[in-house]
Amino acid sequence: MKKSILTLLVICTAYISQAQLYSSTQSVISFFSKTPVEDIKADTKEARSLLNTKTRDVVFVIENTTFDFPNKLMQEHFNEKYMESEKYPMSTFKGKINEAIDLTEEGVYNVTVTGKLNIHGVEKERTIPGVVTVKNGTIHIASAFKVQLAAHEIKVPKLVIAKIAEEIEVKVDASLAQKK
Amino acid sequence: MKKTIYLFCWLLFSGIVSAQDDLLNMLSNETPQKPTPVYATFKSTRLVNLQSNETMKAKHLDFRIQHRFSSMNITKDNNYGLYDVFGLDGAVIRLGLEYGITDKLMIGLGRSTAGKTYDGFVKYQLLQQKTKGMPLSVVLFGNTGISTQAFADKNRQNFETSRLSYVFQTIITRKMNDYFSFILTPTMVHHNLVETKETPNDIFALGIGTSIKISRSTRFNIEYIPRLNGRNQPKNGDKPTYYDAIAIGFDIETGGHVFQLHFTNGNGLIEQQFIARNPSEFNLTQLRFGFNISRTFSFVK
Repeated sequence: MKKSILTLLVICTAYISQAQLYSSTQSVISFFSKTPVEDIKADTKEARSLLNTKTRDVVFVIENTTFDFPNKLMQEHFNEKYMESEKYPMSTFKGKINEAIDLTEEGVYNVTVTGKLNIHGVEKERTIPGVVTVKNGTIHIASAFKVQLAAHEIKVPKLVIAKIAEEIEVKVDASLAQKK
Repeated sequence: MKKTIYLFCWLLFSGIVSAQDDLLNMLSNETPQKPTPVYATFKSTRLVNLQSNETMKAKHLDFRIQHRFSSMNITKDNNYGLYDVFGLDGAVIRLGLEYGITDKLMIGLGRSTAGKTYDGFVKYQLLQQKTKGMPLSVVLFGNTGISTQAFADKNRQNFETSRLSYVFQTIITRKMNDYFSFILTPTMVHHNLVETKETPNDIFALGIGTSIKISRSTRFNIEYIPRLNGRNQPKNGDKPTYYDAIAIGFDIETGGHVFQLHFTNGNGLIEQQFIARNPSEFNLTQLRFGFNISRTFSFVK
């Protein structure tokens, strides 16, 4: 009897804990740099994200080399000269939704997320606004924010300084489903 | 009993209902560490004269200007080079359009002033160096050159096929780390028409070179292309007519452009010329200043 209760408990807890994890392996992250000389854009559809509906913790992981540029020369320079992807292969964000919202309830929530943004091996404390939409068992996260190159010690050589914006616009578009 | 269950429960929960770091670890552990292709072994599709392993990516066009001034001719007769401003009065040029059909296959067309030569080439990336696994990149290169210069002796029986020459190369490269890349290029050059009976139609050579990163936008390059046969043919008095090409240069990359500035004794801008028929020795008299300018256009929407 005791054993069966214990087993049930284990199964239950395991089930609950999984139930509160939402994940995506196909989150879309795009960025945009605008200067009078040149517009640069790139996106990846392979970012990974994980959300805990109970603790409202959220993390994103991007492999830098998955960013796809229309101009492959820019892609090469992005990895070689700016992100130094061999040294710093991942960009990450780990944070917590500040508002005490119930992510099991359907609805559209304007939120802010506070946490650590790690790009180019440099970690910055950030509070980022976003919209969380809970509908039909999926949680959609949308966000737009800016990243200052200097804040993450990404240096732009003088030769190309006119072509690359100091602030890069980043957009997040992720649909998370319950983790199986 | 209850206490134990609670404790057990709490332990379980604390293990699973975790902090952000654990979520991050969870995600990082799940992310498969795929071996990724090694990028930017060299700055450009050419080291100096030699082809590098780099190819134009799909739907990218490279407009390439290759320019070599005349030899510096630092001799007393020439007022120590000043009379011709160290060779700046003369030039040999190739204009080229080079295009990526796929990310691994590119073609190019060019026209050189030397010998009024048109050339077409195909370059195919057979193997690509990866961060894990594949240690080398191997690229195959072949070209055909057609000289359109009038035949020297019109009274002799001349064949149109005599205008043709071919090059085959296997380009083997390795990016050792962020700072050093190496290249080894076994080469065969075939000329349909050669100067003398003793001169081989096929010249074999082994291009070797290295590229050293100076900063994120600049590299320093050296290359040397020793020929393996026919080194003394044809003779020019006591001396051979042709010499091995050596080049030393810098790459300066400014986003869409790559400027390559160099000194070389290599004469001509396609392999059949600077590898097999280079009449200049490596000395201050015959060394020349040159540059390549590469401008890339992307046609990807």
